[in-house]
Amino acid sequence: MTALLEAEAVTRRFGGLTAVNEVSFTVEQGAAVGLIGANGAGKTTLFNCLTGFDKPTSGDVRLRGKSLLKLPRHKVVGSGVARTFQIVKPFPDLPVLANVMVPLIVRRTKGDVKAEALKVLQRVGLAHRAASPSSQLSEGDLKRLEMARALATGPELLLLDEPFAGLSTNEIGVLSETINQLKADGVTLVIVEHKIGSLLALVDRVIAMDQGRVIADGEPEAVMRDPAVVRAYLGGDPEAQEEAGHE
Amino acid sequence: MTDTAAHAKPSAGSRAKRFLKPNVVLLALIPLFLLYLPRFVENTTLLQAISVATIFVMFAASWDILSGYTGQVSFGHAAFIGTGAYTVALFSKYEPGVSNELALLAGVLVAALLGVAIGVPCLRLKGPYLALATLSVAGALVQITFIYKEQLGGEDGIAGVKNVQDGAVTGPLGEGLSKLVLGPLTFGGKSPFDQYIYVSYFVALLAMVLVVGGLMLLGYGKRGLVLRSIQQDEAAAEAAGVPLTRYKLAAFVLSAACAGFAGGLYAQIRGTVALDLLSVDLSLLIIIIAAFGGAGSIIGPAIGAYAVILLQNYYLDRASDVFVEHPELKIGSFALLLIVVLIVAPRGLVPPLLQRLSGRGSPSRAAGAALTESA
Amino acid sequence: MDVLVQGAITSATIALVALGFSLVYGVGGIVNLAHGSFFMIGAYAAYAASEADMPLLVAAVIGVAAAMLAGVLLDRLVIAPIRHQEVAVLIATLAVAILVQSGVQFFFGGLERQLPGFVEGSVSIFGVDLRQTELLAGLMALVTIVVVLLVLTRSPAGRMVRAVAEDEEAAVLVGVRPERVTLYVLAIGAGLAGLAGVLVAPYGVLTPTMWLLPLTQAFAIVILGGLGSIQGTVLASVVIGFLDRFVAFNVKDGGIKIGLVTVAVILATLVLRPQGLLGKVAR
Repeated sequence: MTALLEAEAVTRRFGGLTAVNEVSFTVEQGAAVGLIGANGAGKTTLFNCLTGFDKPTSGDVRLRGKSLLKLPRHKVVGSGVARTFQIVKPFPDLPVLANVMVPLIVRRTKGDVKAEALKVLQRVGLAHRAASPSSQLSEGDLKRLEMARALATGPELLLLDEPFAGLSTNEIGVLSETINQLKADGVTLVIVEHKIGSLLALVDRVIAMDQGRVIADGEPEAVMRDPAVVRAYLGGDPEAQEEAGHE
Repeated sequence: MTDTAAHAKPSAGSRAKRFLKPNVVLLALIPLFLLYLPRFVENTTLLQAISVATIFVMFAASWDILSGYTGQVSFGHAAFIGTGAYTVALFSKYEPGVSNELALLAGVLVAALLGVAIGVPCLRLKGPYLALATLSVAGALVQITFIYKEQLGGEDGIAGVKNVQDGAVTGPLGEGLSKLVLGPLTFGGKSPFDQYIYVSYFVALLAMVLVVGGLMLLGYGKRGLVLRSIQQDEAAAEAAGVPLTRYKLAAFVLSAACAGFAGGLYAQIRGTVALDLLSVDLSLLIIIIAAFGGAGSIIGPAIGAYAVILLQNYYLDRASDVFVEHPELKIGSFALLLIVVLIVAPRGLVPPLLQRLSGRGSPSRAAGAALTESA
Repeated sequence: MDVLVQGAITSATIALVALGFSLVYGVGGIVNLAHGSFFMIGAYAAYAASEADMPLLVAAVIGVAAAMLAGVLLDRLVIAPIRHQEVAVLIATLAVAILVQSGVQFFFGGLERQLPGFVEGSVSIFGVDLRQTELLAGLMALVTIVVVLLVLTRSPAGRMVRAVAEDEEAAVLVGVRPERVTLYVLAIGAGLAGLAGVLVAPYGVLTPTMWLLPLTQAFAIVILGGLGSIQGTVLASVVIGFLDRFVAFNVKDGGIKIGLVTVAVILATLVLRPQGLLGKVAR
């Protein structure tokens, strides 16, 4: 059986710099995969290539065996791949509910779009802020809104770009619960995250990148013990090491 | 490329309120009021000025669906208006057998085509590039009227455009509404010139209600929400699955078509077309109207149009002879006022009023901010 | 031959306008839709001074000074308060352009005006008969451009300007204040455009709407040459300058078709090569 997402030898060069180098992996239906690596390891570039926001120089990205590369961004979304942004991008002048209605509208959702949007907001625990302008939300709520808007596109695969960045420990705890709930609902997740401790609690597999390449891929504990990972990632980033130490 | 939308984070206030639907009943009072106004206003010069303002309401609303909603701020809206008007005029000049309505339809089509022609190269453009591109295209159209001077008349324009009273639909409609509102005897008792003013007044009003009503239905409906999301953040809109190209181009074409329709109708009401319908002055005037009315709300620019155009075409002339002798001072004063408003309160004036119209009293940030904060 | 000689002159005068436009964009991120108005202000101020029986040289200086003053006023009064609101700046500067247009219309009327030539008579270059004033305009413009380029590349002040144009944040770190630099560049850019207006005034035609064509051409040049690129601006000025004269001489009724061709160039460039001839990627 084909995996949900396949990345095959994905390479992305910017001029002389190779940001992502021959990266291959697959993500099975229902999995929760963490993507880690130091700054500049190529995570974000890879993330953009997977979601259609960037085109790989070579290689292929397939969803259920169908290549996503030729599709315009909105079709990538339409085919079931949704993303959030590391730096949240709400529609600031629109109320929270309207933010979530937009993807439902362009999907031509039948029935009451407002009610549907409210349901999505309930899933991420933001229903009580439905009428607020999104510009008034806290950072944690904005991350939820990002997630809700992505969920409203009806994704099979949800890619979260550093969902915990800029959040307090408390907020991370609450958001983790929400993400766990999505996992339980059967949403396939790929999460890019620096806060490894919090990430490991969520995922059942970790892919580690360094200098554009995959250096380890497997069970979280195994990956974290991998000498290459320790050397490349944890060795150079005391903060992350500390984070991981907590676990 | 989409990161330029570095929107100033709105600090407080519930701008979201402006996305509430305005109270429909209160809104319906506006056209009703305008419909019965000629019963109480004897002054036909004023009525004529109101007709012109009614046309401008369509200009401003059609600009808004493109610029205020999707954030593709056009600095050359006159291009679409002029195209519609000149197309109608050309039919009168060369094919007088063609009915008014058909000529008007042709004007709409030609303007829509121009919308595609400008819209496609402009799809990737933002802020300054889009501004300069739209501005210079409108400038180029002015030159075309000189190149085809024989056909388009250069600075003289084209006179003798078949007017609304000759229209198979507009004529009877206008007369019917006139008689309905004024009573048959009263209408019959007017001079032919006054009768013409009444007919054009009602035709313009009817057209405006249809166009602005349609644009408001769209703008305050689901599709309007999608258009707004594009203006807010293009990358986020794409991540939400919005087909950017399709929506942006559709907004361009719809805006162009509505402007072409209003321009063509204006030509039929005036009986002439001239360079003022293609000029930068007109493009700026529309922006002025939208800025005062508050962009991104359709109703705001619509109300702004009545205020600005009545000032321009009626009240200023009566306020001082200077404006009669030097009409250029009117647009000059508006430009100056606009500069001051942009610096002092870059938000537009009408939206607070709109909040009251929508029946929820709390003051809110105005829609003009959309104009000034979007890139 | 006509095209070559006159094209060179036109290129030089257009480059004067475009340099300021491009630099102000590069330095302040500001697209000044009133930039063509400096050209007009220079021309009309010189005309007004000469009508008041001042010597032509004085009139010329007054023209340039008026344009520079307008540049300073524009920056301090209009642009500075709304610097970071891109669309507001666009709208406000277009409003200024229309304000200036209606002011000129009010004081000078809509009729075409012309400044007397700085020098009388005509000369023949490569077999092309030229009015001497036209030749002078070309030479003056050329000299000015060379001076400006030298200042930009050799002097500390010029390097500072380019530093801000290339990387505003880095420039701030080393103590450059971008607002100041924008002010200076805008004033100088206005002066350059004003000078172009003065130089062209004896053989061009002065009308209240004369600002639009130089603005369009400056835009075309910036699009062709790429954003903030000084070499690109100069190169593109040559292209647009020669195109201008080529159209004027070789196309029927060419004079009125220049703007049309310029817009065609703009749209074609936007579709085919949005990053310009040798520029950075356009937004």
